Amino acid sequence: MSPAGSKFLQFFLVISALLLPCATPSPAFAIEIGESAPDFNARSFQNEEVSLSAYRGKIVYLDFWASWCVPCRKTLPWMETLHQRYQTEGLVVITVNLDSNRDPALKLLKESAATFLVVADPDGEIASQYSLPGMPSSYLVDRAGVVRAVFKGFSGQADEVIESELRKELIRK
Amino acid sequence: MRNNISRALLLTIFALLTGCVQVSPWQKEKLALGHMAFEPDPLEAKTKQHIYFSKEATSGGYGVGGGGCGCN
Repeated sequence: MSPAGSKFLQFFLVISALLLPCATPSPAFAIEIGESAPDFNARSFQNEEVSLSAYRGKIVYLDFWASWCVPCRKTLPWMETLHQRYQTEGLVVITVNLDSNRDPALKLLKESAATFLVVADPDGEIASQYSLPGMPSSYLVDRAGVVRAVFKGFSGQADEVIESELRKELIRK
Repeated sequence: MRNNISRALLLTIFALLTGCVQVSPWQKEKLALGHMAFEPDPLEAKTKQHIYFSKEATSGGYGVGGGGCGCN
């Protein structure tokens, strides 16, 4: 190889090595319908130890939200309605809060008179496990711990769509 | 000499590019803060737009109509 060619190769290798960390990391696989919902153990705002696997045999509506996410705020009173309406039929509403500071989340929960479970995930560990496609994201987990539906965002007729999926799941034995 | 400088500059640019990271949806708390918006105050933004279309004799843009008379 000519000296010029060798220099070019050297330069090319240096550039490639520098660009390597810049390469977009392959995103973790988002949880999809039919997959097992990843289990987690975390502390709730009510200071209880919560694990998803403890709710096998129940239908779980798992929602990820934060106070800084505007559409998430709309979901809180609606989720409380779901919780009140279907808890006797075997539905458990578990929400995962991603705020780094708990205070604004607590304020919103108080305004919505929320009584459902709220799990704290300030470092986004559970969110990473699920590799959320957006905020808010929610998952309908069946009695066997399998994801039956994934919902991204909360706009338009989302409440009706989710509730209808939920009802279908509740009557499915 | 000039060649070396441009090479060093290029290397620096590429080295800086290594700072790129992918931000996940749940990591956007700071980006969602009000003061991170381009125009955090809607009233101020509207006033600015009014000044632009009045003083700059422009029409349209930013979803507002009008010419340079400053009368609307």
